[in-house]
Amino acid sequence: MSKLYVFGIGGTGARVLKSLSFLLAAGVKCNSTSIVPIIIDPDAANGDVNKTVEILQRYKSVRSKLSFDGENSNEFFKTDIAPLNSNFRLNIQDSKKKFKEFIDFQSLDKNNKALISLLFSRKNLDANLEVGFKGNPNMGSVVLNQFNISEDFSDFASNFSQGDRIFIISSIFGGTGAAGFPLLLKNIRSASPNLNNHAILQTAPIGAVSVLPYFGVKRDENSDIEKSTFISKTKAALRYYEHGVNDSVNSMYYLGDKLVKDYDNHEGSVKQQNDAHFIELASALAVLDFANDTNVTVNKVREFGVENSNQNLTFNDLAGQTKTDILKPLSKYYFFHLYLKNKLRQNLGADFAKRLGFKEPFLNEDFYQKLTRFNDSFWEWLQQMSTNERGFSPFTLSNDLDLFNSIKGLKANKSFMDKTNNYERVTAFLNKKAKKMNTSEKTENRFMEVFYETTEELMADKYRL
Amino acid sequence: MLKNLIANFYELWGATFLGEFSDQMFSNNLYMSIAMSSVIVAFVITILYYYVIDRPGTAKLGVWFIALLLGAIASVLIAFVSANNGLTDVYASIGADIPPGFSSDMFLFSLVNAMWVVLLMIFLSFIFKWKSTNSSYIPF
Repeated sequence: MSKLYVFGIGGTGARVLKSLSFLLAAGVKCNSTSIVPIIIDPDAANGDVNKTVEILQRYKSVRSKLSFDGENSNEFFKTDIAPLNSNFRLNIQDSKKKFKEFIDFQSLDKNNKALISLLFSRKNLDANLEVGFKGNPNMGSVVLNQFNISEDFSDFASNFSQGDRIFIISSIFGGTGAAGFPLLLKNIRSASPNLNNHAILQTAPIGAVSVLPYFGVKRDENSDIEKSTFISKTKAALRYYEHGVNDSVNSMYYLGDKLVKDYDNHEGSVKQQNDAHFIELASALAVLDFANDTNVTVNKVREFGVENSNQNLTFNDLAGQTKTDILKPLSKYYFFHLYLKNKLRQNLGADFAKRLGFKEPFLNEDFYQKLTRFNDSFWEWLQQMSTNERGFSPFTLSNDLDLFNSIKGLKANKSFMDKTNNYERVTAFLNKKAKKMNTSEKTENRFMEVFYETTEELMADKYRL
Repeated sequence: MLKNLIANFYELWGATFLGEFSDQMFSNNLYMSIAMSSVIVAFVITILYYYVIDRPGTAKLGVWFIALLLGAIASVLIAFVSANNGLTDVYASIGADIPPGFSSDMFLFSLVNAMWVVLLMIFLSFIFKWKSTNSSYIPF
């Protein structure tokens, strides 16, 4: 039973965790039995973070109703997501005040005040920490340097055991991520003897992804966040990482993109809700690559590449291994979602629904409601990635009847012997699978099992996958 | 024995005994061939519905009723045409025409045949539906 503790620092960290939860829901391979997401962001109202927490909670809730005891072949939601606490966040003390109050600026003597004024601008000193560090890692490195006194960090250390792994997600060009990553790493590698399991932590396998600039922000004179500083901040951080970070992590992943889209400039809080981006999906794949790596004892530095550098990527533009890893699971989950959204309610009289006991009340139960809300977020995630720059648009995202031609670049097999097509074919496969199923299982298990098995057969039947 | 049993089915144990028409049908063994054809029709349509046409779109009570209706129509045609042809041959062999009153008798006989075919199809549905992929809950 190995756990993977995934620290998502800042807005990018939260968005990568969101992508990771969709990959896990789709059944993308993950050798860790459990993922423990820990979000680090002092911006309590951050839109991206709150959205991610909602999605993780729904994932957890759906999964809690399912069992994976070996009799089931279902791999949707197979990997457990186990939170460290109820809100998936590592709470940072004293982050609800102004920066100058945090460092107790008023009580400093004249010389120290002069030194602080050299390191931090007036705007920095007056900044409210509740909305994060607004792209200022110099502030973040001070505020976040208190992991070791955090109760949540102490809980993390207590729960950590031999064989567990750690992964850290951060962006290098912002404030929270760029500052938080080296500090967190330092606090783990030189874990205080006061912490439980400190010796295990100090030698634990650690992987990390540092996301280089992959989006910009629109110019706004009232905002402290300025796109033109992203590259210089990245260069400075990379120079530091070269000596202060790379040697301390077992697997270091660097990701970035030349194509960038300018988002609306929000310094933080509820309005910071960036659209999902392919780089976040690739970062989530880095997490899984680390989880599935059988040899994490040697230091590695990895990059991610695509086969064709198109503005709008499809599955065929991905490199071989990436395509193998995600094409089938994501496509299966895509069909699963479309069927639930468009056809399930009207097919409650179909053979499979009657045989397996899927009736109207089941659709009103908490399990199904949470699942459909999770799936709506999955759909929104796909939509946002498809319209972003660089876009990732593997599906047509169309609700029309041409279901099997909705995977771009993949031609569905057709035979003159086929009696059914589109959704009716899915129903026919559901009916066929339902006949072979164990009806003594819980309804939730039967539900996921029949859809997992059916989409598996559809992929083989229509795409030879 | 079997001949008597089939005659009883068609004549509903006397309730639909039609005099001369029924006598001719029985004595010329016409009931048997019509019954055999009707049973085959009932089997064929039921098997077609549950195993050949079988798809989610046809797994509906309405479509099943259409299958019954088709069976009924086919059996009416089989009964009417077979009885008419058989009795025409019988009466032609003695140089006579079919009595004019036989037309309504033939129609009533065809309806009785259709009724038995429909009942047989309902019975066969309960046997065949279990192994059907998409229609095992039809009619219920």
